[in-house]
Amino acid sequence: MISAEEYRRHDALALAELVRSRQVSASELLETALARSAAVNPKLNAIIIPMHEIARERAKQSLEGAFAGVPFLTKDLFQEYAGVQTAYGCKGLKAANYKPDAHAEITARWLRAGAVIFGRTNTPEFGAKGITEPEAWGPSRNPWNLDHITGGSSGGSAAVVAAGIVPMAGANDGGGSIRIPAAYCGLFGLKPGRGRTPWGPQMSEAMHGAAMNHVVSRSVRDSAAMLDATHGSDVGSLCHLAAPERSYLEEVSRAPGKLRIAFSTRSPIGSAVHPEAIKAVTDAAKLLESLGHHVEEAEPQVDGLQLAKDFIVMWFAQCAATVREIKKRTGCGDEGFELDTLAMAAFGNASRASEYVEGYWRWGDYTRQLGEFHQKYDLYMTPTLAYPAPRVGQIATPQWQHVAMKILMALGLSRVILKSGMIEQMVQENLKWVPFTQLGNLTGVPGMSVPLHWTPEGLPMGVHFLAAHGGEGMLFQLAGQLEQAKPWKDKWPSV
Amino acid sequence: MISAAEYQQQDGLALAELVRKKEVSPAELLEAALARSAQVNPKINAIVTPMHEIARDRAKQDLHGSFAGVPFLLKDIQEDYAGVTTSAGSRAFQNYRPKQHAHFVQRLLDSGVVVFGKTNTPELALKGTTEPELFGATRNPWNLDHSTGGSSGGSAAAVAAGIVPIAGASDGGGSIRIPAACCGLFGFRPSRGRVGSGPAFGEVWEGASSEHVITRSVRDSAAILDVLQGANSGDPFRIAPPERSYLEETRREPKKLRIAFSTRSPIDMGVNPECVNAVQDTARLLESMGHTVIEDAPKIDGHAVAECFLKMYFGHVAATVASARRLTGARESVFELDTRVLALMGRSLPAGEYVEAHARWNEFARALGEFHQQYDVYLTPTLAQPAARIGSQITPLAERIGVWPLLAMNLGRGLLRSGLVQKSALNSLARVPFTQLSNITGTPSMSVPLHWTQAGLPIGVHFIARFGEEATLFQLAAQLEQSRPWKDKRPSI
Repeated sequence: MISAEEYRRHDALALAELVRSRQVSASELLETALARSAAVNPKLNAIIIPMHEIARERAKQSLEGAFAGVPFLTKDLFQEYAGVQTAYGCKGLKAANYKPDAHAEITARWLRAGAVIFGRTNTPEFGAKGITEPEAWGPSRNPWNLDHITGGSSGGSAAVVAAGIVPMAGANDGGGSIRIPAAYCGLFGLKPGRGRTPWGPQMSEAMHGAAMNHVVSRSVRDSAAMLDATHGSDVGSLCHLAAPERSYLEEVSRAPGKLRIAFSTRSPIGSAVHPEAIKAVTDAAKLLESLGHHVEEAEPQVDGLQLAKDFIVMWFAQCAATVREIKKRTGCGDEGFELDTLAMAAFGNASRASEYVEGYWRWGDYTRQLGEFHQKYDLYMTPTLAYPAPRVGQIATPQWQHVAMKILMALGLSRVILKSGMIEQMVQENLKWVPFTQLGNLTGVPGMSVPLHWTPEGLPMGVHFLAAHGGEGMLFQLAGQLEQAKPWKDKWPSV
Repeated sequence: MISAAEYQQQDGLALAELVRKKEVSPAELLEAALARSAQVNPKINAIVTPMHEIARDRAKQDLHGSFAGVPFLLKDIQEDYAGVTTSAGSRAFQNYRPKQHAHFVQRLLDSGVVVFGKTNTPELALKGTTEPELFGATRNPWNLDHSTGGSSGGSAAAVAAGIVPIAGASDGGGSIRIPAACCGLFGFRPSRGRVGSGPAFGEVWEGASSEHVITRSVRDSAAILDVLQGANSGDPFRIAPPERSYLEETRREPKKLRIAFSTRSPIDMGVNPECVNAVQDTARLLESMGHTVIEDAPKIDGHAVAECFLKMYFGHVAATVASARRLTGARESVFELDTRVLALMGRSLPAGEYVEAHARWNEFARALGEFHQQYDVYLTPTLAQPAARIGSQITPLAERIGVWPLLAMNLGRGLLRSGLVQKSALNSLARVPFTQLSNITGTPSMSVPLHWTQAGLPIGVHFIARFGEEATLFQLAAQLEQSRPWKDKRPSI
């Protein structure tokens, strides 16, 4: 057996080693995880769809792979498990008790790596927000302070890892949804570059490659070894990337050499940045310099406000398509969706294909501008978050705005709103908390949040790095170095 | 010096070899090309923007690279040459001069080519025939009454007429392969992401469009892809590099391949018996070479492919028309009627529906990917018909009159819902229903000139391979070129 405390102290690779050397069985690990879940999940509301029986069956089998026997949770947004309820945080899909026929390819690869999946974690409706407070399941809470949010959209997964239920959990990131909750919860979160991990069988790419599947984890090496197990195209992929030079796990212990690192603490949309977010970066800059890297303040020539607008227009259109698809799939009507989602979908339907395409073209400009920047600098460092975690409910749309949206949608005035400069207001209101991460999504480059800073109140803050295309290896090298220089493995929330 | 006949006989690599051995100078090659152009271009209208002075200056320089000194033509869309017009076949861009070379052009210049002009394309490269109002129709060297196909029709005509051995081309729906087939040439479309579209573009047409060249010889196409392949800084992703040079692949025997073939139009609109013959004949030839050939087709709804492709078109044409105003100040009325109709569709189509249609590309990529688990290569005709007559693919007058009031009143929703445009577009696709599958799935494909009709018009056969497996296609093409050479088949022009 393994004590709860011991379980919590091991990362996934270390747990797998215990299983391999027969010091503990997969079933014992699973029961430990379930016990921890029973103790803390009622407070966190992070696991919303348990799969205990499936997991107990699986733990009895002979498992192989780098993570054989390690308890694992997937996010309830894509990452389907055949035959298990899947809701994407959506009221209508939850009510329909939707169960997919097949595993998502990423799930299949996690299983091939030996993971024992015992549940699905909370996410906002369609992952469309940076907070995890869906009407369908209620809010997830931050293990570091239950009054605060976990961030999103992989908030449930970040909470379960931070609380020690599992060492690593499935996540995905279309605007920051791996990196943001990792930062709020004191974890490591890496978003792989466009095309690195698969989206099949449902999609070839998600949001033109802006969104990627991977994990949030405590240790850097877990994230690296899991990417070793999952990277590479699948049968319907639209881009088949060059394979990495060596295994990512190997990169973690390789010295990164002397890197040229640019940093900025300015919000790309011109909004305010909290002093603690600035301090996280300036402290990291000093640390990086002491490690021998060249660090200077500089930022790419990208119009951040335009990028944010293009991001939001794309997001609305995607939301419109998703709502139509779910209505078709379940037969539900508008009652199946949150009002915010319906409003986003209405805007998506009100904007035109031509506007969408023009916005998408600008992604090419941003990618080129960031590419030019990366010819001078290996990495670009910013805060992950502009503020420490807000309180639960603080970012929810105010009631009066709900009423206004209902009226406008009833009158079919979505297009009027689109034209009235309200998009910019929506950008400011929604992205001011997390304006830094979308650059990595629209340009498709890999990015990561590293937990290097805690506020005096004890809330974690992440430091964010973007590499050039194909730079996952370099990110893992630096993260490995930072984890050594300023370890976070003994920092635990008191939950 | 080099005689006209000798110049026309050599492919690009052979000409480069003559230059390297100092048997001929780049300036002499250029003059040979210009002489041939002066002789035939008035008949075929392939070159629309000459760059003679730029070329003469360049030919005097010390040139390096695998194509050092070889005369070259660019397609007049995307392939920006700094300071020279890129018209995209449109009145809206006829005075648009980009400030920098496209990466595509820079790579070619680095390989030593001597660019001396730009070739004709339909407006915004939107059609399978090259008959823009701006420059007029390009004519097929095999029969001047016939179309060259499109959209790289100018380039295909220039190569077929012996002005150059290689010319720039791009393919978002078949625009390399279709004119190659119509003009008896080799047309190769690389995988998505193999050749960069920067710095002006990240991806063109949602990644459906690939840039490359039209050539006479297989090895020229391979050697040019060796020059062009690989991402540049700022490209949206980096695909796996080839195992070895493509030129080397053309000298390697292909393994015994499993080849599926089909002659059925994916939109069920009839295939000319000559095109069916071309494929059946090729199937027999492939079998005689030891390949396994089986009649089979991927489970893909061709109508759905066409519909999803069309919605992408709507959005992109509308965005281009909108961007014209910003780039050149051009008003919408300067665009051709068909272009304006497509743009109106794109302005009427809700973004959500656009996204939904794009999401379906996955179904096609997956179905083709699964098909490719059984078969290395998928063989079909390149076109469903031989090259059409010039003028026959222009929208009929009645239809033109019909849409005017709708255009004038900006009644796009009505037009969109009526399905008229979709129907008319489907009619245009009837001639070219085979090629879009490769674009939408990002796979490499090629048209090989293996057949001529009794009337003497060339017919191409079309092959699609797995994503990233350009090597398989080059090996196969070289094998076909050996066993059924086309290099001595020349139009009499």
